[in-house]
Amino acid sequence: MTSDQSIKDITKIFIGILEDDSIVLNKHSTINDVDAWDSLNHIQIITAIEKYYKIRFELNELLNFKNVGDLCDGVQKKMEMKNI
Amino acid sequence: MLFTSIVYFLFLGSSLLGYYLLPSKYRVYYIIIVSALFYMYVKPSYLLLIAFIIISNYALGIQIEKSSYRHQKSRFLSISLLINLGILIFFKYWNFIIENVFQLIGLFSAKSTTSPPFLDVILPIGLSYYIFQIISYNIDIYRGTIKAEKNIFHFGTFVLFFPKLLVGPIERANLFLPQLKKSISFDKENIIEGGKRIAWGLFKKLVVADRISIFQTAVFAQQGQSGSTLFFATILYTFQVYADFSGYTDIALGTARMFGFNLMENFKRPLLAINMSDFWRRWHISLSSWVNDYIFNPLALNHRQWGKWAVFYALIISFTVIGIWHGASWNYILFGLLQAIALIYETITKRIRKKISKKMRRVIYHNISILFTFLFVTFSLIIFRSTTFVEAMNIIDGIFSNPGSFYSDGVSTFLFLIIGCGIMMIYDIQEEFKICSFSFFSNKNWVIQQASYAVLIIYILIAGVFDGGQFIYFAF
Amino acid sequence: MNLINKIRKNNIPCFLLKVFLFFTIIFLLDFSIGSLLKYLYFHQNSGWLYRSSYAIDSTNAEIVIFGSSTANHHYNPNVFEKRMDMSTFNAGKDGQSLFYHYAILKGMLKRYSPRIVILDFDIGEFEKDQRSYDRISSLLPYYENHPEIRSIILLKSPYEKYKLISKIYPFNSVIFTSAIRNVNLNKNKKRDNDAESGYVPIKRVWSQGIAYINAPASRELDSNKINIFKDFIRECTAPGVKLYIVISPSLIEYKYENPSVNLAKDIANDFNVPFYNFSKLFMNYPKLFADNLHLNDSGAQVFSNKVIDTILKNDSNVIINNKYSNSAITGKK
Repeated sequence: MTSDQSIKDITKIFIGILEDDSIVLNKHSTINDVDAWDSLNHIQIITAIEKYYKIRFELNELLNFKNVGDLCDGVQKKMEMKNI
Repeated sequence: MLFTSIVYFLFLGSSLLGYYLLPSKYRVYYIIIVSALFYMYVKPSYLLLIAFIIISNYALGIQIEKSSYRHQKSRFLSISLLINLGILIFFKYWNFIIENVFQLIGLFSAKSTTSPPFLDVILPIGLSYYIFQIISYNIDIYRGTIKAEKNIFHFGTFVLFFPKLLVGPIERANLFLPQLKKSISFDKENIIEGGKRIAWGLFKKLVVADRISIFQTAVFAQQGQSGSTLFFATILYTFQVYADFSGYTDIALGTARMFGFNLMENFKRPLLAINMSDFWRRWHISLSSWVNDYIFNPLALNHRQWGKWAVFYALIISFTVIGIWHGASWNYILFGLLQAIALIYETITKRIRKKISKKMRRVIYHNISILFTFLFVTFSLIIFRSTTFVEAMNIIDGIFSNPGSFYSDGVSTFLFLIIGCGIMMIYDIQEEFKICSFSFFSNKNWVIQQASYAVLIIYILIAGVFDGGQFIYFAF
Repeated sequence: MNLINKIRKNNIPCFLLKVFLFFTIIFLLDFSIGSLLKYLYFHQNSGWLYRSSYAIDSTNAEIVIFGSSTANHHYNPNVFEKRMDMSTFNAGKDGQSLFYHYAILKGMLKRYSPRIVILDFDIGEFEKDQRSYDRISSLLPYYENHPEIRSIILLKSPYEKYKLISKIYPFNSVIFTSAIRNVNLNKNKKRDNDAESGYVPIKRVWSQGIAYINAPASRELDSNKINIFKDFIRECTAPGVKLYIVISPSLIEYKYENPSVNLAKDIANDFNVPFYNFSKLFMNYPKLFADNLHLNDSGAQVFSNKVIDTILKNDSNVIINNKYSNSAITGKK
C-alpha cells in the first residue's frame, strides 16, 4: 500500500464522517486546515480508520499525530506489523 | 504592577532601552533579571517559590528526556505533576477543598469541634498561568514532541517572561523556546507594531471595560433594578469581560513584541462566534487549546470505544477544569459545566442544525447564530460573576419579571458606553468579515494610519477611566 | 562601523522622524481638543460640574456648607436664609472627602470670607481610602487657574504633575456632560436655581430600618486627611469667620468606637471649634430618610432647623467655653 493510496482512503473516511464532499487532504493537512474537522469528531474519524484497517492505535501514538501525514505513517506502520 | 499604570510604562520604557543598548548575546539574561524585578514588585518572597518551580522543573524535564524506559519517564513526569499541582492546590484550592470537606462531614456527624485548617496565603500572581505552562512543557517532553531545554536561563525566561506573567497567554514551549535561540536584534517594526497593539489594549481596558465596570457595578449593587436595566447590564458585562481580558492580553502581546517576541494569540473575535464550539476556539485560546491537548484528547481517545459518550465524558471533565481554573468556587465550576452542556447539545444537534441552515439564507442563519451564541455567553457569564447560585437566579428572574423604568445616570455614560463598545466591535467585525475595503488602522498610507492611532490615543485621554478599577482576572 | 550599518539597515533616521511626527500630531491634537474642552467646561451654566465652578469661582454666600453627600442632601439653604437672614450656599458634593472640601474653601477664601462655615463630617472621614485620592480628579480643571489648591491636587499621585502636561487630562470623562450643558437652550434665560443654592433634595422615603456596622472599612487613619482637617480649621480662624463641625444623622448603628470621630472631636476642642454629633438624632424616624445614610427632603428640612437652633442657642457662649457647652449639646458621649 502506497502512502498516496492511504491518503485517498483516509480522505474517503473523512468525507464520510464529516459529510462534506469538498474535503481534500494532503500530508500536511492539520485540524486547523479542515473546517469541519474538530476535536469533537476527531475520535469518530480515528475509530472509523481503526475499523477500516482493522488496527488499534496506542493512546500515545494518537496524541503524537500532528497532521494527516503522521496519521498515514501510523496506519502504514500498523499494517506492516500486521503483515509480519 | 497594573499594565495600565504609569509605573508600568516607566518600567517598560527603561527596560526596553537597556535591552537594546546591550549586546544581543546578553539580552536573554537581561530579560530574566527584568522579569524577576517585575515579579518582585508584587511580593518579593514569592521569587523563591518561582525559583524553586523553575529549578525543579528544569531538572525533571531533562530527567524525563534522558530516561530510556517508559516507566522511568512516567515516574519523573508524575513527580513534576505532583510538585506543580501541589503548589497550585496549596495556594489556590486548599481553603475551598477544606471548606467543602468540612461541610460534607457536617452533614453526617452532628457536631465537629475542630475548626477547619484554613490557610491565610496570598495567591502568587499569575500562578495558574505558569503552572499550566510548565505542565504542558513536561508532558510534551514525555510525549516526545519537544526536546528538554538544556539552558536554565532559557527555561527560566520561558516561565518568567514578564509580559505574559499576569494574564497569560499560557505559552507553549515549542512556540516560545525557539525564539530564544535566535539572536534578537533591534527591529523598528517590532516597536511600531507592539506600540499599536498596546494602544488598542489600553483602549479596550480603559475606555470600554472600566467604563462598563462603573455602570455595571452600580446596577448590580442595588436590589430591585428593572428588567430592562438588568438585561442591559448583563449584556454590557459580556463586553466588559471581553474588553478587559483581551485588552490586557493586547498589552501583554504588544510588550512582548517590543522585546522581539511573538506570543500566541489568545482571542480571535470571540463575540462573533457562530456556536459555542466556535466560541471556545476563539476565546482564551491558550487555555482552551491547553485543555484540549492535555485533558480532552487523551480522555476522549482513550475511551473512544464508548463512541459519543467518550466525547461527552471528556467534555464534562475538560470544562470542569476550565471552570475551576478561574477560581476556587462553585460558580466557576457551574460556569464550566454549562459550557460542557452547550457543547454536548451542539454535538447531538449537529445534523439537524445543518439541515436547518440549508433551508435559510446564509447571511440570516449566520447572524442568528452569532446572536444566539452571544446570548448564551451572556447567560453563562451571569453565573460566572455571581458569588452564589441564588444571586445568579435572582438576576435572571429579575430580567424577566421586574417592572420599572430604565436606570440611568445621565446621557454621558451611555454615549461613552455606546461609542466604546461600538468602536471595539466595528474593529472586530471589519477584521472578521472585511466589509469595508478602506481601513483607518491598517491603511497602507502611513499618514492616515498614524493619524488614526493618534486619534485613538486622544480618545483614550478623553474617555478612558484612569483611576480605580481592578482587573477582574487577576486572582486567576 | 557595525553600528552604522545597523542604523542604515533599519532606516533609523526616517523611523525617528516618523516617531517625532506622530508625537507632534498627538501634542497638537491634545492642545487643541484640551482647549476646547476647557472652554466647554467653564461655559456651563448648570449641572453637577458647574456646582464646583460656582463654589470655587462665583458664590459669595455668607453661610457655606461643606461636606460629601451628607452635606449636599441634608442642609437646605432656603431654611438657613429664612431663619438667619444670611445668603447660603451648599458646597457639598457626593462622594468627596476633605481634600475636595478644603480645596473649595481655599478657592473661596481667596475671593472673600463667608461669615459661617459648616463642615459636615463623615463618620469614617479619616479612614485610609484610595477612592478619596482618586476623586481628587474633580479638582483637576481648576489646577491651572488656582495655584492655591495645587498642593492638594498633587496628593492624588506622584505622577500628577506629569499627567497634567496633557491639556485633555484635566477634562477627562467630562466631554459629553459639559457639551450637553452648553447646548442647553435655556442656558441664557435663567440660571440654574439648584446650582446657586447647591442643595439637591432626595424625594424617596426609606422603607427599611436601621443597619448595623460591626467594623470600620479601614482601621488605619490617614495622616494626610487629619492634617487637611487641621488646615481647614486653621483657615476658618480668620476674624469674622465662624466654623461649626457637624455629624449628620444616619440610620446606622456603629458597633465600634469610631476613631475618626473621636480624633476629630479632640482636634476641634483644641481649636475651640464647636463640634456637634447628631448621628443618633433621628434613629427612631426612618421616615425622614431616603436610605441608611441620607435624609430625604423633609428630613433635610427638619435637620436644617435643628442645626440652626443649635447654632443660635449657643452662638454667644460657644466661643468662650466650648468644652462644656459641647458635651451639653450632644448630650451623649
